[in-house]
Amino acid sequence: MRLIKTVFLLLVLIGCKPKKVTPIVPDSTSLKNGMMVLCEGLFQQNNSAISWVDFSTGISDDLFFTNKTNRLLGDTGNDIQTYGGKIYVVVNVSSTIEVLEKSTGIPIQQISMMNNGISKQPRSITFYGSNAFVTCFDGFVDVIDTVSLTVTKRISVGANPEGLSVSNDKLYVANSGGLNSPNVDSTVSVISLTTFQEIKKITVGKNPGSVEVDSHGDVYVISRGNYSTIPSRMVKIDSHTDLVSNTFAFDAGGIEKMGEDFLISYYNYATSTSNIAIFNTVSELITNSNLIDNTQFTTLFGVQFRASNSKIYCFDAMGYSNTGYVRVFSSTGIYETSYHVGLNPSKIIFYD
Amino acid sequence: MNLSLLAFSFNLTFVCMLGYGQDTLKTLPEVEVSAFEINRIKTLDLTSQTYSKEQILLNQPEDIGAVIQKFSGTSMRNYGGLGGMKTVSVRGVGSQHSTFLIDGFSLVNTQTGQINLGQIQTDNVESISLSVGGKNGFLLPASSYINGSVISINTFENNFSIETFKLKYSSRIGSFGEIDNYLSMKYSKSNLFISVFGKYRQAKGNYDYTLQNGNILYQGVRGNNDLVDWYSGATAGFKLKNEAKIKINYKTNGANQGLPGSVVLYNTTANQRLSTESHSLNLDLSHQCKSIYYRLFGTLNHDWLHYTDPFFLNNSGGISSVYTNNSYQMGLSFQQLIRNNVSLYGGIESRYSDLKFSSINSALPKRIHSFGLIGLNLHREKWKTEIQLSSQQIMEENNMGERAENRFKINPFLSFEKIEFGKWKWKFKAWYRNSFRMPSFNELYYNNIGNVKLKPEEAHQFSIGFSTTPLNTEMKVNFLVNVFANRIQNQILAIPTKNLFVWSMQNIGFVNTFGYESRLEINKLIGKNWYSEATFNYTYQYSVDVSDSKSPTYLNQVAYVPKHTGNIDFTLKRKDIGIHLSTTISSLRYSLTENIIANQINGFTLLDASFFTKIKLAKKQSFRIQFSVKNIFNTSYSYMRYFVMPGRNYLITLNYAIN
Repeated sequence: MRLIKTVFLLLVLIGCKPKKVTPIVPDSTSLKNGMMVLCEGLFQQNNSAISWVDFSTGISDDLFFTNKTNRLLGDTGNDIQTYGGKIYVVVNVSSTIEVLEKSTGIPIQQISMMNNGISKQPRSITFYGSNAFVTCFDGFVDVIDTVSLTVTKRISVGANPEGLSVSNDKLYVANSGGLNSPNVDSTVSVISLTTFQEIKKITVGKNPGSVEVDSHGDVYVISRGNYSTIPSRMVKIDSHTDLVSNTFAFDAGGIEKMGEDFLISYYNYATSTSNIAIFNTVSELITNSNLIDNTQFTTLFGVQFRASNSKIYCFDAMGYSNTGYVRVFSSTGIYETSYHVGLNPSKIIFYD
Repeated sequence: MNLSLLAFSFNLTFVCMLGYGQDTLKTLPEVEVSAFEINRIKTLDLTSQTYSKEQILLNQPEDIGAVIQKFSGTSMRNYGGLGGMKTVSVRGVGSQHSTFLIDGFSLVNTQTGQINLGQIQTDNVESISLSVGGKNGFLLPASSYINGSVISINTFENNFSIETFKLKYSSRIGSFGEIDNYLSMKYSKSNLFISVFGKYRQAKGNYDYTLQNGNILYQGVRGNNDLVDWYSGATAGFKLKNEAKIKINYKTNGANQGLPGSVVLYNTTANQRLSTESHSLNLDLSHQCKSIYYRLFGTLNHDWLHYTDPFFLNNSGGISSVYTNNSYQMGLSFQQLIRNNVSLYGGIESRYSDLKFSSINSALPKRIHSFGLIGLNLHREKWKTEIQLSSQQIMEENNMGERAENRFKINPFLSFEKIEFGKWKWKFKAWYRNSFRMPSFNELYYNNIGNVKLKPEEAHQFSIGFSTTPLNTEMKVNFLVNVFANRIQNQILAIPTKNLFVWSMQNIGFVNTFGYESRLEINKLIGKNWYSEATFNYTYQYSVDVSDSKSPTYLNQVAYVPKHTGNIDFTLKRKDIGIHLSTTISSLRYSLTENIIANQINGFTLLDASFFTKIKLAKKQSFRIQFSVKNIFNTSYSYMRYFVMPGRNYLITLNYAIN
């Protein structure tokens, strides 16, 4: 019986619950000389995160959001933007928008993006006046008052809207229809920012995603095709006529504004090769077809340009299921350094 | 079916080439032709582990997966909830390398390539065994000797009985709205038996859970986790004048269940549902012809699956997809004693499978998978050697597009065993097996995910082990250790190939596994009336990614394979009353193959306790009642990231039996 008692006691001891973690008081020190990197994570893993990289040490804190809020960011963070002293983080599968104080990262509010108990799946965010505009996969653009942080209006657009940008007092929304694959959408919705209503749909090509505006107010959209027979192309829309004025015959996956130029990034999934080209918006020509040596990356996942130091920050997703890097290059494409961050990095907010 | 006949003939030729049809016929040693029943072993078998119906009753598992995870060398992927998805990996080799047999018939699912253990219940199970490295059973289908491991289940309804009438009834009432009722009856005469059986089960599945969200402990209730499932069928068996045995069995089963999915933080909506229905007809003839035992068998199987997601954000207002998967099997197995110390076994088998999908423009794959097997057993007084060669031919068709390449492969198996030497009844065994698994229809053809260029995933397995029975007086002790080394080549993994939302299957992985498993059994009589039994299982698996030495995951433990797993079971009985304690122990595992803290899933120790008593009501009638508390310490745990498991729960089981 002694053996039985011993075994039972052992089981009681090892069966106990793990200790609870005590919530912490977040640090309210002003953030400086670093960058906040949104790492998307992976679907249904709740491992989206914000990495804080301190430029003076080069060290990344992948628990930045948790240390500020005592909780996790959620599932599949898709966008992070700053506006009016606040940071807005769009979390797609968790269907939330996290609003933080820009100077400290302290949480202000979590906006739940549910509609009668159904997830809206917010995707991207942009701003105009006192409103934030959020594309939602359920076919709407939500208007959020940036003071009350409440949804004040829903504007119906096309299927599964993704990227959006403002030009000429109008909002341009790319309707990808990606959740209807292979019968995807091909349109860009034009929304009047006076009436908050869709005024036109422009056909641009299959599966439109990113939207960017150049310094002259012209709108550029990436139509990603069907990933096989229909190639991914950049399409230009004249924001005065709202007509397609040009379709460019080169591979394009993402657009990042760099002065009068665009950085055109493209990752070829079939050949596992990355490319970054420079497109001049005045001449409408590719001025450098291979700015950065693609051997510097494993998997190019996006590009961001920082005007204050003229550096190019490239996101390397590595194998998608392991943590990634932000790789820094000069504006002429010379490699400078790398920062190890979280899983699938995709967007940055810089701090001087 | 011309392709099938061609393949069948080819494999028959292959078997004949390797020596089938020896002319020296001698009498076989005594072999149970009803040998799908495996009695509990007196000393530990280095090839297979077995649980009897008595042990299953003590543990009151919710399904067969809960029994299998008690075998050493296994690691479970459990998505939680009654009827929820459960698969098992044996010795670090993926779940699709395992064959499942029920009453000597293979369970086949060419759509997914794996069997959901959460939908196989245990009420009618007489025994279940897991075998790696060697023949485990008699006249089984050729395909079952070829894969990485075999899990074999024998049921009450499929065997001839001495008693004229047998009845089994069980009823369970448990937490989270679980109600089960099972009834089976068998009528036997000298040369025949007929059995009918059925079960109905329902559960709400709305269990409380806690999970750690950063520094906050979140509490929730599992939603959309309800289940209704059922099965029924009938079996008839006949003995002919020439002692040939014929069995025919029909079984149907179905389920309607919510799919709760993983817990998504801040968005707990879940609306997906799954309905399934299956029908199977099995025919079995076994006979002894001089010194050759042979068995002919055939199976017709029809699976129907309906998946819905009413709130998927597409233009159709949701997803409603229907899949129909048919498979037909036929085969011949034989065993023959050539000389007193040499026996030959083998078989041929052919399977036809197809898959239809309700969506237009979807692939319509068909497959004919044929097997040929020949094996030789050489016996001496204290040692055995087994040599086996198998052939597999796979032919594919797809009426709606590109098809996978046809395949033909030959695989070897070798083993050497020294049996029961010395006072402590030592056994020693070493073996090597090379096997492969064909990609499933989903992996090859499913929408954007499928990739018809996939090669088969190959497995090399090597094992060496010993067992001993050092004490065998009033206390009996059995001890076993196996050390194994495995390598998976061309592992099939999903990676993004078009964008981050479009993942596709690729042959990109190589995995090396080194491990060992040990088992200790102690049985002891305490005085005249008390009996105690304890079993300890421990498995170590160092299963690492070796795909690319430059990758950050090189030599990292692969996802969802914990390094340390084990269990301890303890039973104390006094006549017909007793208690049973059962633990399940797992070290931490990783949700992705990068061994960082962010990917860790905590290890856990679970303790279940039961009290049971058996009452004899009248002659040949018995009544048994068991009260069980599962997860007695209300431990918060999960096998898969954010697929939370239930806390403390209760179960009352009643069993009534005639004979």
